[in-house]
Amino acid sequence: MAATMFNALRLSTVEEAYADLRHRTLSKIQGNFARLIYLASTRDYNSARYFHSGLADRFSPEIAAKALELAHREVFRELVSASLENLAHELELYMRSTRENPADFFRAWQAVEPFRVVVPVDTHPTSAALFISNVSFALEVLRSNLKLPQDH
Amino acid sequence: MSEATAIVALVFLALGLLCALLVLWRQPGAANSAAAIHHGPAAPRVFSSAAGHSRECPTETIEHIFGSQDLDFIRCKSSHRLRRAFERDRRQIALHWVWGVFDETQQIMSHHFRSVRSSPDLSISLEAKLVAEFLLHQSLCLALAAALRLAGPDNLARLAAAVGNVRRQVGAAVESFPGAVPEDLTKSSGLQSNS
Repeated sequence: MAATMFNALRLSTVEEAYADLRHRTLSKIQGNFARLIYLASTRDYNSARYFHSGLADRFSPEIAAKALELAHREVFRELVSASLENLAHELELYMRSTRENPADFFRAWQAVEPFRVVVPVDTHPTSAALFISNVSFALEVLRSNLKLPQDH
Repeated sequence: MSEATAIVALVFLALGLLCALLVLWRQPGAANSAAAIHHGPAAPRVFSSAAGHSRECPTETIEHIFGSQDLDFIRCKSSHRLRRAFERDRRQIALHWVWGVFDETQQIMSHHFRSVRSSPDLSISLEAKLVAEFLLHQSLCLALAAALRLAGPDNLARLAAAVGNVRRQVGAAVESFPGAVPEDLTKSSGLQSNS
């Protein structure tokens, strides 16, 4: 019974941390694609552990990591479910928020494909493939609509 | 042999040949080529853990792959070349999913049969029901793969949903045999009931 109470307490703490993250940080980022990039950037490349100093101070590094992981999965799930049209719109919002020259942005994104590293760990391979494919096509559609020259 | 028996035998023979052709049609490495069309040599890593992934593919992903909304958007917004590339890519992703489901279900059934062979709780009627559901599932997978090869994934959402439903029924039936299949194996194959 004590263990159940402890688990319930931990769960509510993760939920609180998640709500805090949404309220203080994610709500200030415009668009789900930008949120996905931000959340993926809080994950260490080598250990796949999430870290956010403010959240870790308010809760604990473990709780903060769980909240970040939860948010990452949720935002990713929303983007995988989004239609290609909405995804292209999200991607355009993100591109404009970077204030990068569109031609440079598309060149970099199509060459480096940074969207490959934003997939949460343990995502089903079919969902990951669908996301990567959709982002590639959304980039191509945006690029052709902006009448940018092809690099190929 | 009567004429009716001969016709039935011929129908079964034709079905068997069709299944064999479909399985042979399944090119080795076809799954890995799915994203390679656009994503270069690094793409196969997306599928690298296909045999051992830990969860069932989300329903919304399947609905998305087999829906027509994205194709309609691509038709309106892009060139003929891009539309062809998109159709090819979606077909490969869909085929990868179908063959993954086909293989996983086959694995779970092989494991189940090995486990229950010597079980004292063996029920012939339950086993027969399970085999019927398994054969229905595999037939639906083959039909879906054939339809994908011929037409593409858009407008096949109902058939894909039927595969998912039968899959859950097989999962529920396998789970009803206590201790027949370890929990982790049913999880890895996605063969779990919704309960």
